[in-house]
Amino acid sequence: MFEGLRMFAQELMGFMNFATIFSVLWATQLGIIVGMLPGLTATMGVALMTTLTFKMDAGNAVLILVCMYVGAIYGGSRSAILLNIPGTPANAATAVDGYPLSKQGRAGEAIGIATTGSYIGSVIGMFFLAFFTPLIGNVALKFLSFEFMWLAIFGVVICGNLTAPKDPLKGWIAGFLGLFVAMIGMEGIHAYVRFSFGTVSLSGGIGLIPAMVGAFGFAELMTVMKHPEYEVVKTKIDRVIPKFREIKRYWKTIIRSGVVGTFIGAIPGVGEDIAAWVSYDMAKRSSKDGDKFGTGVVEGLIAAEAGNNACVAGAMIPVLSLAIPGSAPAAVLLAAMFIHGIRPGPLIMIESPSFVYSVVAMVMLASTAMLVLGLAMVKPLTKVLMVPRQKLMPIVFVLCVVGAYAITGRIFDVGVMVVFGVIGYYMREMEYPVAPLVLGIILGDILDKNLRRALIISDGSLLPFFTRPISAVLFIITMLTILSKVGWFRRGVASLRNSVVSAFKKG
Amino acid sequence: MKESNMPKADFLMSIMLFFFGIFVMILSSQMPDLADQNANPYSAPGVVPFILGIIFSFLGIVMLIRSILRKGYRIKITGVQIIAWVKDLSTQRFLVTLLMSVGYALILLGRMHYLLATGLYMFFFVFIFEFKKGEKLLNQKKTIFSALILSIITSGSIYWVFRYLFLVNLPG
Repeated sequence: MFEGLRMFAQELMGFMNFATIFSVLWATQLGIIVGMLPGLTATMGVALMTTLTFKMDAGNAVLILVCMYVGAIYGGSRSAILLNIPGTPANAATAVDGYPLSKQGRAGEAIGIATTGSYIGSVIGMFFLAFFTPLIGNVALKFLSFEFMWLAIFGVVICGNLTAPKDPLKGWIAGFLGLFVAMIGMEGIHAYVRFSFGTVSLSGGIGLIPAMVGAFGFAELMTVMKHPEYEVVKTKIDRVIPKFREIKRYWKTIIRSGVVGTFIGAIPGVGEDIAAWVSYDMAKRSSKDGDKFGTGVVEGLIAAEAGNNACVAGAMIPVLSLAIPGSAPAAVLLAAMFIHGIRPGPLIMIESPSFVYSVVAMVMLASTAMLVLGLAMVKPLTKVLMVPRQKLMPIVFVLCVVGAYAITGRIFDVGVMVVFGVIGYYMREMEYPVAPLVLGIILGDILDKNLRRALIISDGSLLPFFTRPISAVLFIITMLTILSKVGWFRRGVASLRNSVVSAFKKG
Repeated sequence: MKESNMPKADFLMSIMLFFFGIFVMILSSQMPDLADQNANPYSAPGVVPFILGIIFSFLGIVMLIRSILRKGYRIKITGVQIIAWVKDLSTQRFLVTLLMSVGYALILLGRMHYLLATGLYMFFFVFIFEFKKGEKLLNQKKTIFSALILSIITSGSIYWVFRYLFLVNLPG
């Protein structure tokens, strides 16, 4: 514990120089701008920034990416409040009460509360990141191939469940398709080239960054351009800095949302949008003014923002401890870490424990920059929202192309970006979530190697997959996750619960 | 997509998914087990894709049954529907965006200088979406001018930043 604190202080002090602080400020500000522009998501911002930073040293590059991530998730609240259009999907719940507040002429107050809520949520997430990463890392050291195989399956199943609550089947299909995409190209045990159909370019596999930039960026561009123009609400922005008593009044909501947001962030692939909605829903259920939510209730706004920003730090817990991303932007962050030669995963607490605390310090710096910039530069940044989309979107696409091309310098990757853009667009149209697809691409390699290794270890026996203690727990959780969405199972559980309750009442 | 059309889309998707699963299983089973290299048969490259193929086919069947129960098999596409779809403003905006972006990324890039390709894309994108239908081209000088300025500034600055600051060899 004290060793952790010492390492955190040491890493934080290491960042205290002019060049680093300057990087933190510009990257966070750029993140806020990316987040507030509808059509530019946090995932895309982090992916494009990966391209820009891949020639920097590892520490600086990861710091800039973390700042972009934190800034973008917060920045989306600005357009949610002023336009009723969430800048990123993570801010959809923010718009529910943020926009009505703006229409009441309380836009400044709403922005101030969203900023403070985001900051406190981020700090709560940061605490859990520092505390739980080493713990999970230590447990993960006991994982063998059997457990990693189940972890990969559990990741796509839970991600499918939560990102497609209306129709989890589509979430699972997206996840398994992602796992299949990861099978394309040279496999990791015998270097055998699969599903390349004789194409040399495909033998190297599908790159995560081009696929993600396409599925999130290009697909978003087509979705945005399809719809007509939006109107900016004409509202006066006066007092932005919130009063202390306003924040103190909702301390329970903030802490609960922070904890919930972090927990959801730590679930593989789920992400900030779900964290915000769950936090919002819990605040609504527990509030005295629950029935007024949606009409401009400060508590709803603060819950959504604390939840989504806490999720950012939460999503980094599995990135660092298991090398599995907690959200789509965290997936890019993970890919960027690999590009820079950092190897997150169970061994990180043995190989480079200081890096975990370095990331904690990065989150702290980014959150503080977000608070300062968020409260200080409200009026000038509002003008950015006036940029017409037909002028902004081609720039976004040009950046998507460069982002896909720059890392390997292959036109093939631009083609991958375009193809995944079209796939991503139609997935949205047909209500398939994109996040499980991306998570599947990352987990595919883990599944492929570990399933085969496990079969070699067990000499083809399937028993250890179900009898090893951690494996059994992961299997049961995966099955329950699937069954919880199956009608007959839910009805069975409900009737069982009713009969038990009535039996107790009779007794 | 309209909610009422979803079962039909699911019906078609389920059939595609089922056959895709079969296709993956066939290709996986044709992969070598590398026994001639003394490899363990359980480490064969086709093991995991084959299992994924089974899962795709299974999920396809589940979705097929569900879409049939929701009457998704009643697919009827008429000429009137197609014309209405093409005439819809959203469809037109989507198709213009798609065609221009694909044309830029897959045709122009690599075949001409990056600056020219990006400038052309930027100019036509802004011009087409800001073009006022029914108004003479001569009366839209402002639109042309702003599209031209934006395309020059954007393509120039992106080229400069990536080429000279980040040392990326841009295509073309």
